Formats: sequence, C-alpha cells, structure tokens
Amino acid sequence: MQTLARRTIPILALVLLTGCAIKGRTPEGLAADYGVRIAKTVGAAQEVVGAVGKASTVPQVRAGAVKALEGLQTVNTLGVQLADKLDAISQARAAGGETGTLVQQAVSLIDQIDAAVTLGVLPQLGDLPETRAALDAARAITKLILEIQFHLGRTE
Amino acid sequence: MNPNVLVTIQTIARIAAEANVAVGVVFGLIKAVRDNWPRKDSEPVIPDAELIALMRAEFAKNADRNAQLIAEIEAGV
Repeated sequence: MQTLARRTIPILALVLLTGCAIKGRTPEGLAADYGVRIAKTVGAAQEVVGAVGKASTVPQVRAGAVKALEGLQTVNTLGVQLADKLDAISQARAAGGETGTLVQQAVSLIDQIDAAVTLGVLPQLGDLPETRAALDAARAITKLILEIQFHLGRTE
Repeated sequence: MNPNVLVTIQTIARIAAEANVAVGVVFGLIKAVRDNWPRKDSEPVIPDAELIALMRAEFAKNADRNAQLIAEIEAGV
C-alpha cells in the first residue's frame, strides 16, 4: 500500500499542477473573474432590494432598502477602484515589475467591500420574509469576496 | 478457530483494503484530470485585460442603476 501511495501521490500532484498551469490564468485574472461575478451578484441584489423597497408601504422597510442600496453603491464604487487596481497589477506583472504593494492595496479594497456588505447592507435587510431573498443575494456577495481574496492572495 | 482460516480471512481483508485504496486513487486521478483539463473550444479563455474591463463596466452599470432605484423609492414610484 505504501508503494502504491508513493507512486500515485506524485502523479496526482503533477496532474493538478499541470492542469492549473495549462489553464493559464494569472491570479489577478482569476480575481477579475470573481470580480465580474461579484458585480453581477451586486446587480441582482440591488434589483431585489429595490423591488422590496418599492413594493413596501412600510416607511421603515423603504428607508432600510434605501440604506441597503447606499451600502451596495459603496460596493460599486469600490468595485470600480478594485478593477483599476487589478489592471495596475496586470500591467506591473507584464512589465516584470514589483506587484506586492499593489496587491496589498487591492486586498485592502476587498476588505472595504467586505465591510460595506457586512456593515452597510446585511444589517439593513433584517430577516423578514420579504427581505430574505435580498439577504441571500448579499450573502452570496460575501462568499464571492472570500473567493476573490483567496485567488488574489496567491500573487504573494 | 483454525489458524489457516484466520490467515485466509486476514489476507482477503488486506486485499480488499488495498483494492479499495487503488479504486479511490484511480477515481481521484480521473476527477483531477477532468477538473483541470484545458477549457473546451466552447469555453474560450477571456484575456485578463478584457475580464478586468468587463468587471469595471459591470460595476459602473450597477452604480447608474442603483442611483435610479434609490430615486424611484424616494419618489414613491
């Protein structure tokens, strides 16, 4: 059994590494891939929040929806800044330059996006049935943020 | 119990365990290859620059729509 493991584990590792290398995506490319998904998720989330706000006759719900939308607007602003930062990382890498500082700045932006969702969006949605869909959409954003952090972390 | 029977049972158990590991390794290998093989022709790789531009455009589009939604809620539309 040990012989079997000794032979197969290196082969398995080689297959995985070769596969990742063949895919040919840089970490900032992977991060941008997730960035697009976050943008689409934010778009879907704000449509749900907007629909909840417009449909409700309760002033508190409408006010909460506006605040949640303002939180998502912060995510949009930070998302554009993150795209610019990923662009800068990509160009620095292509020129053979140092990317460490840029990556730190990008991670800082992701932390700010995370905080905007956690502090600015989720508390506004509560756990009422009518906002549950919006809450789920916002939670999906935080999951994607974790993934983008993972991929960008690979540049270090 | 007859010692020969005990040895036979132990041998069968060992062979079964090793066969189980071998099957697991083979299936793991097949999965690793399937998950990491290059994308198919139907899934072209988008260059990084295009992805980044797409990300920027999506967030900018969201920002416009977000402002519109806030205005609609505040106006009671």
